[in-house]
Amino acid sequence: MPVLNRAGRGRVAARACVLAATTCALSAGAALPQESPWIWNRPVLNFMGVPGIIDMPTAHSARDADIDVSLSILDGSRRLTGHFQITPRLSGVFRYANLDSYQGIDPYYDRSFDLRFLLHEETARMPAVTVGLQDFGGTGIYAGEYLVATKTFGRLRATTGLGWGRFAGRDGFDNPLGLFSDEFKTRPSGPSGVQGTGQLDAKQWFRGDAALFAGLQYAVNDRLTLSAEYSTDTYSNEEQYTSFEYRSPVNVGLSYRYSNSLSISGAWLHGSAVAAGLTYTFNPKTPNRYPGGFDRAPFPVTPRPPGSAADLGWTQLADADGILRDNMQRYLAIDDLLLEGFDVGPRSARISLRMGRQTAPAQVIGRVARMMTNNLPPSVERYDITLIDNNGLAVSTVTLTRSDLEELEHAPDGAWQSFARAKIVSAQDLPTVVDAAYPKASWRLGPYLEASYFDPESPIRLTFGAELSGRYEPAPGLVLQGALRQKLAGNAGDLPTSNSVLEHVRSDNARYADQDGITMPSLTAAKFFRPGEDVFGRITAGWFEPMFGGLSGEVLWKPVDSRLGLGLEINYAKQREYEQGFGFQSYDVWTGHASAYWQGDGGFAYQLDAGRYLAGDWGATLGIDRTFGNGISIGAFATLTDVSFDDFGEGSFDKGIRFDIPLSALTGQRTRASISRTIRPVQRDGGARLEVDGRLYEQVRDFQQPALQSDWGRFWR
Amino acid sequence: MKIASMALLCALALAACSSDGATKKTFTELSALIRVSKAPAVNLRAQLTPEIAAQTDAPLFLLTLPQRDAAQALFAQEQTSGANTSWRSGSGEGIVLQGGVLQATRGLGGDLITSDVADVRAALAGRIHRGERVHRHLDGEDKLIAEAYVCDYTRSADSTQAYFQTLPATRINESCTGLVQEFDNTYWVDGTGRVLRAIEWAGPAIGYIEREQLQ
Repeated sequence: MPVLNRAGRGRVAARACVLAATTCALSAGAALPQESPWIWNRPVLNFMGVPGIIDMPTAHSARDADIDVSLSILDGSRRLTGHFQITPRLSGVFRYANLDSYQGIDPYYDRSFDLRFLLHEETARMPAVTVGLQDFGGTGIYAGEYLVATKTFGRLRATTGLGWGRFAGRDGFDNPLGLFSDEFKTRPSGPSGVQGTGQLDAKQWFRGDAALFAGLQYAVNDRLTLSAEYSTDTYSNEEQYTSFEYRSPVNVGLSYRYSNSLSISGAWLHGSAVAAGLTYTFNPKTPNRYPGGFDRAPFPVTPRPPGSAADLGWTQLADADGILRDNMQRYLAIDDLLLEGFDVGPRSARISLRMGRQTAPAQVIGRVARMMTNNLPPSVERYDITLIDNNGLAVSTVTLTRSDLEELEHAPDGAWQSFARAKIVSAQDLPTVVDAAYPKASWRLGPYLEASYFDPESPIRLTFGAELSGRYEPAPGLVLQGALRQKLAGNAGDLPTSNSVLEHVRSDNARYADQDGITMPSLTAAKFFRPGEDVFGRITAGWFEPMFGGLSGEVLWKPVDSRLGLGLEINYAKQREYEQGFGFQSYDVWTGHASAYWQGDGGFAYQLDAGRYLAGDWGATLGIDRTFGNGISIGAFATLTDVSFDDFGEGSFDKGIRFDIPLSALTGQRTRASISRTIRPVQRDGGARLEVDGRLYEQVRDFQQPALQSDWGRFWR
Repeated sequence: MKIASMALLCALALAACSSDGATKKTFTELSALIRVSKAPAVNLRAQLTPEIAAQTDAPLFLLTLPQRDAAQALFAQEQTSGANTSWRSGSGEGIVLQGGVLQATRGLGGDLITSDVADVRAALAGRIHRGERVHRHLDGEDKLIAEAYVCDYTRSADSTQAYFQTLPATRINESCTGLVQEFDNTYWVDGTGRVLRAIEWAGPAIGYIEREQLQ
């Protein structure tokens, strides 16, 4: 569905209302949820940052891929919640809450994760039904589970649910699940306090007394919703440790959708307090209003006069190759592309290039092919276009014919037809490297900003300074790079000294970040190569990252059209001195992983790494990322190793969320800059992996299948 | 353009000097993006004269985007391939016409990637009074989305501005209905079937494109 402007949306909504009204008359009062007005096209969020009324949840899902970031402010606590609709039915939540005081810690910062699953979509007769786990693995302030049903009656939505844990703070009755097992009748007190964080409290889920909650939401118009609920959350912790006062189970509130992306809400909570909320909604499927972007128009295909393809006279010209190569180089440069190799015969031409500032491989292939029709003689029918990644690794070759380009340029379904006729193979047979391509040198002088988030004492720690970095490529696949930094300001050093019982492979990060002198975060030499048709290789030596240096080797098996990739990485790593010069500390370790990568449907990518981690612990990491066609990706990972939860310390095991947002997707402009972050609730020493630049899979997969195919709509862009 | 402003802030935070000037280019382009919404409404048409147009011997048309604060640009013909002509503006935007009918746009943001306008051309020639057209746009995930429209055509005698003069023309109104969108296009065609002037829908992100043939 195209991105509608606001006026368009309003009109469609209006028509939907009229339609809904007529259907209502025909079907004797049954509301049709799919034709609900605009306000119901996605649910209102509650003050926990999930679809809900005020404190209580509701059953409808957000729109697929919606990201809602909400801030709730109430007496004694503040909550910052990110809600991501992972699939149309499943959503995940990360919440960072700040309480004035809790269990003697003042102020108290709490991190929690939720999962919600839509069991049943709303139909004409049946309500939507959702099951939710709130704060399923944290310190348990918000721990609770619910089964909730919501039904739409025109402008009214009614919700009722069964809650456990925090949702059974009052009016509790014997757990109905007790019918199945006596174990459900009592809720064991789980691990508590900082030491217990991060453990999955599965033994508590759906245990103990249950309670019934209910609420109503009324859509006054397309923007304003009024809500009232009977809440079974008694805020007992908040009442005990903060100034919050609990007087009544009834909450009333309103929510106002200021724009498509911004909502504000307010509520009168528990007869004693005012609460305010702000929600920003972003959908990575529609990151800007100008899909396809503002990239300048491509050069059109140059059609050949009839019969010209037979003329081979040009092959007799002295230095025809050189002239054609220089022309191609000039054309590529106009479109920010970098020529690596070129040669041409009477009937075919081969070209290899880097994408420069362009980001969509299929678009680059389409443009280079058109430039070849602009420059090469009519007799050259077959074009082999090879994409080279940023480290000089040749990945894939796409073969196209000039006749197809001429035929399909303006064909209504030209993109799909050109994909069907293109041949995509692993890059093996490379054209002669042009003299101008090597050596390559580049440098950058600019600011750097390092951030760590959501630690137990501070929402964010920053280190800011100046960085000078340089990169030199003497020959294809050989990369020398390094960087120097001077810290100017920061508060990372305020962290208390690590209490980890493991080797301090990561938990001394504050000491690394808090150096006052010039530091050298990295200095490496790397060689990238292709040992076989479907195999990629890398060897890196030097100072990889602020904390470790050594030697690293990796091989990756990834056929050009395979969803499966297999990798093996082995490293010898030695811990660097805090000053980050050339020196090392005494700790060293052999670390490495066997990895399996699987590209699933719907943009979901799965990665499993099993092996030995930096602290010498053995285990495995599972990562799941959802990557959108425009390059935005959001994912989560978790690592379990043979380090016990107690030895690991706070958080119990390593886990986190990560995202990558190319600026080109936000702005529609041509740039390779992106915002990329990994956010861990806490960084400890167990399950820690070495950071090495240039890991192979990330570089390779965009130039292979199925990524190229999903991008192919841009071929003629 | 809230997102663009945010992105600009990010770019500012990343501002740096480098060997390839990439950061600076990005910065310049982001600034340009923010100006898209605040483009000064220069009336290019009023400044154009036949003498200025004659400085190039290429065919020219003037394009106006009412939805983008009436931004205007001059397009020159770049390439001909069968019935398709490709046109390019000085700032790098592209337009493809098929038999004088808008077939595709490039670089305008939210481009019309292709359209099937065979029926439209038949209707302009007076052979049919009802036809279909299919538009393809990229969505936010770079997937092509096709939309089909059913269109009705009516003809009337009129005159219009083109080629720096007022010319008698047949005015053809095209009224199209699709699943979520309706639009009305207008074409002014001379006795030889040449499109002198047109107002054509190019999708929700661009809106209507007004085109006046100058040379």
